[in-house]
Amino acid sequence: MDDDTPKNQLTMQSLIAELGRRQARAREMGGVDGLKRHRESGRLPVRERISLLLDNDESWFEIGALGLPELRTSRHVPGDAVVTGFGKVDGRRVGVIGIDSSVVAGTTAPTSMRKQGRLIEHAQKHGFPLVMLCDADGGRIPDVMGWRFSHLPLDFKSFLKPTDGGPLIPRAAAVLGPSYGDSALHASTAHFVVMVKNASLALVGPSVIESATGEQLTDAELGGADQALAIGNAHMAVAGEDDAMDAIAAFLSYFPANAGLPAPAAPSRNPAVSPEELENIVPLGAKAGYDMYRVIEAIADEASVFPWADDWGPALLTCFARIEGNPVGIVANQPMVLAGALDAHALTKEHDFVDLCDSFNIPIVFLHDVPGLMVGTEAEKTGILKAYEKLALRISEAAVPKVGVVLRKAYGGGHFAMGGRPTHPDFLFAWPSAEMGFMAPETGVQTVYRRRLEKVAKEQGDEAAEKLAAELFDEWVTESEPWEAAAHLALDDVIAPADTRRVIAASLDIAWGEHPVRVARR
Amino acid sequence: MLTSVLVANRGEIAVRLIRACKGLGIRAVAVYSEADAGALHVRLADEAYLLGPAPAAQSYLNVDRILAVCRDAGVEGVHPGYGLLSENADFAAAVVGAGLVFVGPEPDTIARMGDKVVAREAAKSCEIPLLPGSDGPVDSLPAAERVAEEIGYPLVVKACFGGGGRGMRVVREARQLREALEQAERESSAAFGRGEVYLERYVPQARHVEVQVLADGQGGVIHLGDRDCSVQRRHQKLVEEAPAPALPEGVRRSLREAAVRLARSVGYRSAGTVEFLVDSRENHYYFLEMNTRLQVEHGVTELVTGVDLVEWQLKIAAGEVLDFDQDRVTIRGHAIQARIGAEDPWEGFRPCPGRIGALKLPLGPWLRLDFGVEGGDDIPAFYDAMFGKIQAWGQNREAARQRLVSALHDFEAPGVQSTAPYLRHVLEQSDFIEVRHHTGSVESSWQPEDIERPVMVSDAPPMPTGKPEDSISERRVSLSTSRGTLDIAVYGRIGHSRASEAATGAPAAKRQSDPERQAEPVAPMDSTVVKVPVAAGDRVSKGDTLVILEAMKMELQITAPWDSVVEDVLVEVGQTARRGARLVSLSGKEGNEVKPGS
Repeated sequence: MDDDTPKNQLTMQSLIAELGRRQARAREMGGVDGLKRHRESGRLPVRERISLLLDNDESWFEIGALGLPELRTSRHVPGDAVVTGFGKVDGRRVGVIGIDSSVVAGTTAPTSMRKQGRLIEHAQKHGFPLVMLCDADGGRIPDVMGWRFSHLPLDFKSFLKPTDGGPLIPRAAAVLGPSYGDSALHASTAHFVVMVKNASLALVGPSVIESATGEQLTDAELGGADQALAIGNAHMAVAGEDDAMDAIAAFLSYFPANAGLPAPAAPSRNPAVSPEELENIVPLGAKAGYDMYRVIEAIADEASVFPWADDWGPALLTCFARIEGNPVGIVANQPMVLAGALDAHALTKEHDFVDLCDSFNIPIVFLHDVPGLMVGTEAEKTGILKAYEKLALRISEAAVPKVGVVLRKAYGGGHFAMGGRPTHPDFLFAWPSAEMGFMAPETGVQTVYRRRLEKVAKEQGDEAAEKLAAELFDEWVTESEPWEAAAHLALDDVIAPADTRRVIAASLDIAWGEHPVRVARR
Repeated sequence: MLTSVLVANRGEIAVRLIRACKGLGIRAVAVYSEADAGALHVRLADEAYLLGPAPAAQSYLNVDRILAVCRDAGVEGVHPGYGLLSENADFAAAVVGAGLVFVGPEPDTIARMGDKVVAREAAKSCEIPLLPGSDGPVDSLPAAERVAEEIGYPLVVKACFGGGGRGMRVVREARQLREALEQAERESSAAFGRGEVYLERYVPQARHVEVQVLADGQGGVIHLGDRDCSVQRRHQKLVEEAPAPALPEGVRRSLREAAVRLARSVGYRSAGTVEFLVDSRENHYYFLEMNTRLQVEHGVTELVTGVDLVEWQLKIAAGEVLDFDQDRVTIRGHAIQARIGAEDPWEGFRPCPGRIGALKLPLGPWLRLDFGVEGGDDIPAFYDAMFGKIQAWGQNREAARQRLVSALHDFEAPGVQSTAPYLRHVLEQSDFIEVRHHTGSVESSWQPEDIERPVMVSDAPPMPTGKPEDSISERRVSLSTSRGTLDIAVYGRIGHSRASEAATGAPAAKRQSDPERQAEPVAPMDSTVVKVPVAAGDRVSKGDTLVILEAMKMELQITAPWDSVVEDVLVEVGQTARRGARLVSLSGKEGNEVKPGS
């Protein structure tokens, strides 16, 4: 209020004018200088980011704009450096948290935490996705110093899950600048994290690390896109902020607004690659590699394949797609990387992906071409044993429809990690090119019959041993063919490659049955 | 020929201009506001540049920004379209000053014709009849009263620098003059930055007839026939046709010659329009004004002459001369246009922006459609509500009329209320069919209330898709990722507004409320009229109490939404007013519509 207006001369008009002034001031962000610096660093102001994300500005409904820091200084910190509200993305309502790093580097303080917490509660209580635009450098000093830190208005219980037992909501985060501390923690709660190439994401920033351990790092070295993608902290890196918003919109388009609703169907589209091509895409012979995405393109609807964490454990692909218009999560081996052998990173990624699909009524399709699990000291050091067991249990417990197709190899623990029979797939099919068993024939014969072959070589000569090895190999191969598996009902059927899309679609339809929603309350 | 042109406009005219550029092999550069990101004109252009935030003042009217884009994009010329900056002489001068070609007349011509008093002088020197009026701005009430005595009542107070019906007041008797002057000055100052007004005789029941001229600035000046634009609401044209029907040949010839005379005398270049009032009872005509730009209704002239006006604007701007003369211009058949706006005729033509669902454009022979949107696009709240035009050609007026009626019948824009059903009704009126209508017919005789209001398409049950989502939008996104480009089809939800429909009973698209866009006051709920402190003829100021209602033991004051005159009181004390019932009828509120065109 203007100081020269005595309180007893207030009118509704003067109060409304005051409201207008305050609302405008609450939207100044970092002011002329702060916004200039922010833009010069190649980043967009938070309100422009929100406009970019939403269908239109009319759908924007903001709350908490008048929030201010608990600790006031002469510095104006509009909204306590965070913008919170609701809007529509492709017609879908979302809750939005946008950190305003054009002022006080977007650092968090009690008011901004309350605003964010409140927004998260709204989204969870009312059942729509949450979008977080991350770009901030941890907690604000001195606002969170000393006793204030342990007293922060941060509630992990309501922060991470609905507290009323309500359904989970999808969370997506865009990492649009250096994101450390709270901002990074936010991102790590998200089901999908997209980052722009020049952003970074880590627990704490380089300055904290240098004073703590003496290690000198740049933002990029510490948490740049390469690092964040390799460990699964982010799931996709894109060129610009507009791409990041589109990626979030695309991600959300596979998801229901909350776990209590079926995933949204779209019109069916023919695959980009004809299913007839499948028989030419996958070569026979265990040693020939190919790009599994080519296979997926011949099974999924055109322009529907959305990779999730391609660079994290890249021997395994996880992606969202649609088959005949219905969203699916696809888990597939990538023969181009490590011949598709699964390491601990790949298994952990798969666990999280299966959990994500199963949490949001998205059925899972497994495409097997796996020589096995990685073995050796490096594999053990990274915890493959526990990662494997944890994954197998998670697949087994997944209640959404699960359909597997063995394209070529499906050996050992790798096969089970891909939703083999012990993990309760609803349907399991194989191509006639499938090879199945606990180990590939070459290594298998040498491992299992080593003593017998050594004995024959010693008693009857090398030639006899080689002959026996060849016989054992043939027997092994015969037993690995899909025909015996089908004969013993380990497989539900053996199908022609060209039928894969149709069979998967029909199986999923049957497996949904008359229960359109499969969410177990966890 | 120019090789690149920046289209400094939006919506259907930007689309029209971009298409013309493409036809001539000109690189078309679009500009857009944040509200128009991804709009059709942006999608069609060879390149597009963001101007700024949604409000026009910060985007489409931001001269500095547009000039900066011209530099960045390296264009040779600028086409302003209609509305927005098209008749802004300073803009034209700035374009020329930047070494670019302005597709239109000389900046000085725009400035002179934009000053109504100067334009009247020019018409006078060409011996074109003028309505009796003040020869210049009137600067005081006594001066105005003196002039008013001379020209007689009714008269009209007009802003010297106005346009599109803004800054205009009809004065029926002397005691209204003072207020009309004040209002017109106030409105004109607010809208155009200049408050000068002049007086002119008001001709009731006149027709609006205009002549299209085309001049190459190198001696070639021709006309392309006339148009009738008498179907207007508050000076905003709704239906236009070419040629003007039922005009005595003598008057028609005289109008056309007058228009060419005027264009020649002011050294006109490019396409322009000279507007006249025709007093059809006496077959007199009077000069109104000259529009120094392309008109919204240019298409009907193109249909009956076969001359592409935009193409000629571009050619002339590039220095070409007209390669045909007046004798080669023949008027063939008849064409009528209906302007399609996202407005609700049943709620005082209130704009209702929103997202259009599955847009259904009429298909058929002899139709021309100019639209600025496709299905799934938004009509932003920030700009003019017109988003397209439907034109029909016929061997004669009746054939064209029937084709247009049928086209309007087939038109659907789910998600918004449009003017199409109302205009179809207008085209069926016997006064229109027999050309007995005039510029006041819409307001005096063709009230939307007399027509059954069609159900908004999105109110009806959605078409069954067999899918869980009722209505699905689709767009393509292209993501530049660390692993190459991903093309993803993103499906969204349309018309899913469960919350808003349940809460308000109104579709979401119509929830936007702009205080400037209020219609006449209605009863907000079922209630009893307890007091009516006004009577017909009373002048009321904004905020004055019109009616007091009582409902649920609570008094509700219904106040005037704008300064006006009470034309009629529609309720009496003790009467029950149903929710939504009109209570009083107020004189027109002019000057609030933000229309780029005329």
